[in-house]
Amino acid sequence: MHSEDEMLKLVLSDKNLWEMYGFNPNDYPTMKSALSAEDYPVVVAVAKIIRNLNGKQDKSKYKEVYKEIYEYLNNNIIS
Amino acid sequence: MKIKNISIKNFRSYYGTHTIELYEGLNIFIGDNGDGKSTLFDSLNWLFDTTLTEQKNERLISKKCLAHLVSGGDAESVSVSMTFEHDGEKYIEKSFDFFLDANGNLKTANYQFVGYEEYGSERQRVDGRRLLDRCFDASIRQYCLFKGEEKLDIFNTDNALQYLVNTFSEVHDFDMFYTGDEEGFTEFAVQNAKRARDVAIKNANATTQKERDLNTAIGEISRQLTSVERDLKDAENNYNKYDKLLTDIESHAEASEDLRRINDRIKNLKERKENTELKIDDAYSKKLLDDYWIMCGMSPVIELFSEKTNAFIKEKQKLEIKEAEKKGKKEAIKEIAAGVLPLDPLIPDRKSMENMIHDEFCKVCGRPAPKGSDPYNFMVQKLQSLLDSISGEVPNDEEDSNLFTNNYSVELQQILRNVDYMTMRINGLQNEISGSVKENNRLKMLAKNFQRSIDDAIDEKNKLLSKNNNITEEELDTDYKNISNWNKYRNDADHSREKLKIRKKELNDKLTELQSELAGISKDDKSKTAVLVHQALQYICSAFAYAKQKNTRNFIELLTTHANGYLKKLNVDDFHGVIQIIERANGAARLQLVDNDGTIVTNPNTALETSKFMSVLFAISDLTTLKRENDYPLIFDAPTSSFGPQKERDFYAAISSVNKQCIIATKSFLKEDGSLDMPKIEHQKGKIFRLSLNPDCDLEKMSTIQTNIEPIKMNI
Repeated sequence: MHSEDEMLKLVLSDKNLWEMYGFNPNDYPTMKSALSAEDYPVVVAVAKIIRNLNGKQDKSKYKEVYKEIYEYLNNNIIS
Repeated sequence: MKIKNISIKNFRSYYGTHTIELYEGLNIFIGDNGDGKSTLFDSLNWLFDTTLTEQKNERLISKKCLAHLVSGGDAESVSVSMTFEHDGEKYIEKSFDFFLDANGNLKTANYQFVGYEEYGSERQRVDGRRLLDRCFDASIRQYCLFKGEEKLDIFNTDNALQYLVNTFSEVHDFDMFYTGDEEGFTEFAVQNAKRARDVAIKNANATTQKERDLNTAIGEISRQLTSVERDLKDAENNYNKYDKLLTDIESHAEASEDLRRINDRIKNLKERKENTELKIDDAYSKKLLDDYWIMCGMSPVIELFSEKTNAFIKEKQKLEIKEAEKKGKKEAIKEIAAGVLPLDPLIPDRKSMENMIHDEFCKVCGRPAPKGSDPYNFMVQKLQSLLDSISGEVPNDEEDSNLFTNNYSVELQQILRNVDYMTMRINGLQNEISGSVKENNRLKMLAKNFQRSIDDAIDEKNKLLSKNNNITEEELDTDYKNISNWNKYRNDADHSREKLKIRKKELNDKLTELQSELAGISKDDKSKTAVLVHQALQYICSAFAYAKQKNTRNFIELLTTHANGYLKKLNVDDFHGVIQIIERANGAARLQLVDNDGTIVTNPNTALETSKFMSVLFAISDLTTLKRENDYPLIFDAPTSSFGPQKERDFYAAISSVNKQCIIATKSFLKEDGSLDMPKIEHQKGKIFRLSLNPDCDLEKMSTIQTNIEPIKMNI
């Protein structure tokens, strides 16, 4: 089983993502650091997705988590 | 999981009960062919088989035990059990009873698969199948038990790597987030965000013409993108298909070339043999009459004929000479009588004699010889003698005829001359026969040599085919012929794939551009934000897909690193390259060996091939340990049959240093005469057992066969 930090690291290492949103993946090695990355809502969104769904095999949570993520991005994302 | 002991009862050749205490490291069971190595392996395989609920197979029953059964008597049982350590001590036993009924028919009953495990201080009975599946599940077991060398290739099916990755990597951790088929959370989020975006845009108070145009363009680009993605998938599939075919061919390319060379050689040899056989002319019986070879048998007859003819002619000549002499004498008499021939001056002729008698005077001695005197009487007597000698002897001309009236001797001589000619011809024929026989023998020997070379070439071909996993000749030939076509198809697919990738990127860029533009001109902040959120979720979704893929790659890299560590240990002296695991998009994989100069080893020998597979198995075992935080035994039956002495030493040295429980049934450590190679055994780490048949057993009678297990070396 991956730890949340390992999973986060793997996801944030996607070049397309960090190039598009201009963050340095090495600045967010832990969930804690990612969840507090206020300047980069995408990083926070990734961390929230992992935190809310990791280890759960329950699709019924999708809507709930989606709502939270959508709201977060809606309130924080800028062009 | 460590197996502490195994107990086998009445399982095929294991008559009676045999309990083996195992070491947590290497355990070697040495046995010759037929001594029970495979049966030991099969007994464990039977115990570990959880696929069937009832397994009462009469073939598993010891024939020796069967021979001791009495009709209507007590039942006996077949059982295999083991005690093992896996989060506490556990025990499983699979068994069934067998007996002869009153009619002498074999019956089986009471199949059981039981387990025991400790709960606190208590030992509780549980379902053996469930206990085994819990502690040593099927996904692990398939990488732990291997019979023979040919079964070691675990990547022989298309989904093998995928299965391995799914089982032992942590790729499933990503399934909740991304699946690739719209089942993961991020895919769900992208779909919902897209709907939200569309609704937001639609509901914007004042939708300008520009926005409508942009939305139309976005819709069009999205459709094109979907189409390109579909084409790209097809191109990927095509590429993978031809790549797999070519990869397979690549491994057979050398063999294909060798096969073609051998076939050419066989064809050439056959032609030469046929040509040689056509030149053989050994229809000797025909030649007896047609070419007069039969005449050679006439030599003694001809010799006899010559001899007799010569004798006859000689005899004739002799007779003719005699006749001639006789004739000559007659002629002389006639001439003397006719006075043609003068007598000696000292011998008076008849006339002189008559004159001298008349004159009574001897003119020979010059003295008178009066009548009645002795000289006179002497002359009369001499005259009388002369007259007597010539009287009646003068031959008649009529009597003078030829002695041989026929011409037979001439005819015989003529025949003899013909015979001489025939003898010369026979001598010629004899030379011809001897030359012909000699030439035919030479040609036959040559044809035989060609046949021997053909047989050798066919042997070579069979070896080549068997060396290539028994691939058929037709397949190799087809591979060889198709290689250029498939290369072209793969290149076409690759080209098409690259073009589509570029097209996809162009469309994505265009889509992003249009979406940004749309977001920029949206009068309504809500629709603008919805576009941005949707875009962000798309990027997040792609990032999870990337992470999942990277996780698989990391697993394969880790597997490769571990495998290469073992490969190095198993090939101390003879190979210095590495194993590469080549992954295909469809989840299939293949193993390839690359030499240290970067050359792909297309046709490794069996020993190197085995060490390659073995290295991967050890590596998988390492990863299972990492994944499950537990260790599992590796059980091999005859894994090193193709190994030479040095490789075998490397293998056992490597396996001794592996921190795993290994159970190996092998005939290594046996000398050629079947006796134990004690110096090698002394040098080997681990517990060693000897499997052997009971000395009094009769191999022809299954009811006497019994395997014994004898510990040889217990000091680890």
